[in-house]
Amino acid sequence: MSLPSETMPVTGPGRQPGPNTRRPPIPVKILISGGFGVGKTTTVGALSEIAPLTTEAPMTSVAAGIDNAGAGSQKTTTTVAMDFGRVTIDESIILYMFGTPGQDRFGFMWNDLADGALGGIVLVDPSRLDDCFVALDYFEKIKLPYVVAVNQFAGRASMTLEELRHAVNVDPDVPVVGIDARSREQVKTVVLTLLHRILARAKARRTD
Amino acid sequence: MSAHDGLDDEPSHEEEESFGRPFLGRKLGTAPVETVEAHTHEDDTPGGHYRPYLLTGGRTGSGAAGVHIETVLVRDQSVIPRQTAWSTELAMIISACETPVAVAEVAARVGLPLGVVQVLSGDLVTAGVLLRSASSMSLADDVLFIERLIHGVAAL
Repeated sequence: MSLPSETMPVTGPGRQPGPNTRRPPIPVKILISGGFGVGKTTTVGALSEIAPLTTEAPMTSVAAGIDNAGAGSQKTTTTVAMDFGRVTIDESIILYMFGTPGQDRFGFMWNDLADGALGGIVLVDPSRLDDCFVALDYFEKIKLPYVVAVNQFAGRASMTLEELRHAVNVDPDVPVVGIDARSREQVKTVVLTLLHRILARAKARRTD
Repeated sequence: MSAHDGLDDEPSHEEEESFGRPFLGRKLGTAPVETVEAHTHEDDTPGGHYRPYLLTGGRTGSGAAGVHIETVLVRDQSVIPRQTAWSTELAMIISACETPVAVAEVAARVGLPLGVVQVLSGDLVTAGVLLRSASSMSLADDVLFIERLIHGVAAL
């Protein structure tokens, strides 16, 4: 066996993996979104096999009321802390759940984050309904499949799910479910609801 | 965002003036690895740098290597990197990738901003030290894949 050369073992970008290595597992990305304090990290942590981690992600913020992204719009790039977790599905698939920040005064555009995402879960606090509208608008705009999950619904059921559906005004085919974000089983069920919605869309596109 | 626009053609005197401009600098991929060390500071406290993008020569974003937030990386076991050739940051990224992990997870574990780790790990992918997962972009329409995913989640 030859020793590594004095310099870095640079090889070309077209290099094939060595015979003893396999391609890493494919990541599946879903976004957990909603207003501040609605339970995004709790939701991530309920299903994640690791304690939720935090990273600083670049985001573009757009001043409220300005939806023209052309020249002169008030867009700034900022850095936002984002929590995420991981679920190993099998030896070739890893599911990553990213909690995306969303505030009411500023609309954050999660372009880097949403790029390649399979779907989204919009968490709703019934007492602060309008906090979720930024996420709803964004997911609808980029045509990302999503479900609406009303956190701690059972604890303060001042509205029925139908009333909530009406209040957030989503399409009739968008699932609106109540969850306890601390419950692993309930979070799992919401993720499955989302995946079935993604599956339905994939099947519809196949027959188009 | 492309990392290449204009940077290669910059005259060298521009770089000498770049102290107050963290996004200036050269591209690591075409430079000898010693250049990486020239960009780092004596102290090795990651995340404590005032301008973390000095580490990337000013580059941001996923770059040519296609390293996104969720891209899974793993060290190529068939390559024996010469450890002394790496800056502290590159060595930490490599050692965080002994088992497959997403770029976001690498960033969280080594304590560097996501954008910096995207660029640096992209360099390591280009150099053949790290292997990168295939993109999941096209999977949204892959019925068999989504069915497999549903089966996997249901079995958790």
